[in-house]
Amino acid sequence: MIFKNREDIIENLAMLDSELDQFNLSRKIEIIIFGGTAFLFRTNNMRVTSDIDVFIMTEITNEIEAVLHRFNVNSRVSSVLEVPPIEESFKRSELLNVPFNNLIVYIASKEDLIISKLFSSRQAQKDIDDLVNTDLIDTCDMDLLMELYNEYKKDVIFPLSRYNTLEEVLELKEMKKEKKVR
Amino acid sequence: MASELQTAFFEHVEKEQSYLAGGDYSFEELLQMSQRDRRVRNAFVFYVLSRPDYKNKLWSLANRSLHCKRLVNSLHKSLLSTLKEQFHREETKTLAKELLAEHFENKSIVFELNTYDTAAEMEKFLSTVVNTIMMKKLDTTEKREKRKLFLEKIDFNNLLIPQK
Repeated sequence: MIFKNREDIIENLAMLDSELDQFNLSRKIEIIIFGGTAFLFRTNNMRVTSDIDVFIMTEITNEIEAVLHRFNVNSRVSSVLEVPPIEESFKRSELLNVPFNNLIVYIASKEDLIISKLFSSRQAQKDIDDLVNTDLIDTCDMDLLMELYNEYKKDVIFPLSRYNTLEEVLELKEMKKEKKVR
Repeated sequence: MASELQTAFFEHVEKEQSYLAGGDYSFEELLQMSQRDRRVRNAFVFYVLSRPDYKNKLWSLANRSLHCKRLVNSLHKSLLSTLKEQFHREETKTLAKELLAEHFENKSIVFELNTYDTAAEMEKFLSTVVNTIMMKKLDTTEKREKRKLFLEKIDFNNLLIPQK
């Protein structure tokens, strides 16, 4: 499935929510959405994604995790995301205003999304591309972003190989803008 | 003979491939795109399996092109790791088994030490396509109606609420 917009994502989550009804959960499952899905909520640039990368904030059984997985909700994001710490990004996230029966969904803030791309341990070109080709950086709180970036840099061991520099991304964005003007 | 799931899978892959590439392209054009677009690449390797002529071309090119060799190798690796993943649907594993038997029976795999795991992305592609097929198959009119009512109540202009 290719999710092309917010409506696709919400419909998919509604299907998952309905599937979860049968488990009579004692409490709702809290998730924070990162990755391409969060981009769909945070930018106006056209972007597609095929799954929903999340942090699960509630303890769940393997059985429930398998159900999430069957609805393309992927919690493996934590393995490539070292910073921002989830407790901190949770405070800056926003609640998705959809009354699910079994889910409470948050969307990571723009600044945390940018940080997650810069500090992704997989160090892939696609993370840089996501930042250069969308308006996420142009529309974020730059002071907050710089503050977080400088703070989290201190947490990273072997910095040269562990994060993409914000300066490089800004430079690439400038070059892209100049190309367009010409 | 291809199973019902395999037929549905390849139909879906073809549609996704066309959407991601922005139209219908030749083997050579898709191969070129697969070098710069990871989404096209993930769909392309499976699309190749649905067309004997495309598969023969890719398998043959893998003997002299490093990119093609990596595509075939990553695809092989993705199918093998699909069998081991505990959260995949049984249908996903069955399909991976079928594809392995049909296309990789006597092929050896080279494990490359990569910082970025292309095979994991291909595995994710396979799994999400099968999930989509199964979600559609198991969906009912009653569920769709219920979902329609639910979605109608959502205020799409006021989707995000800051936390206090």
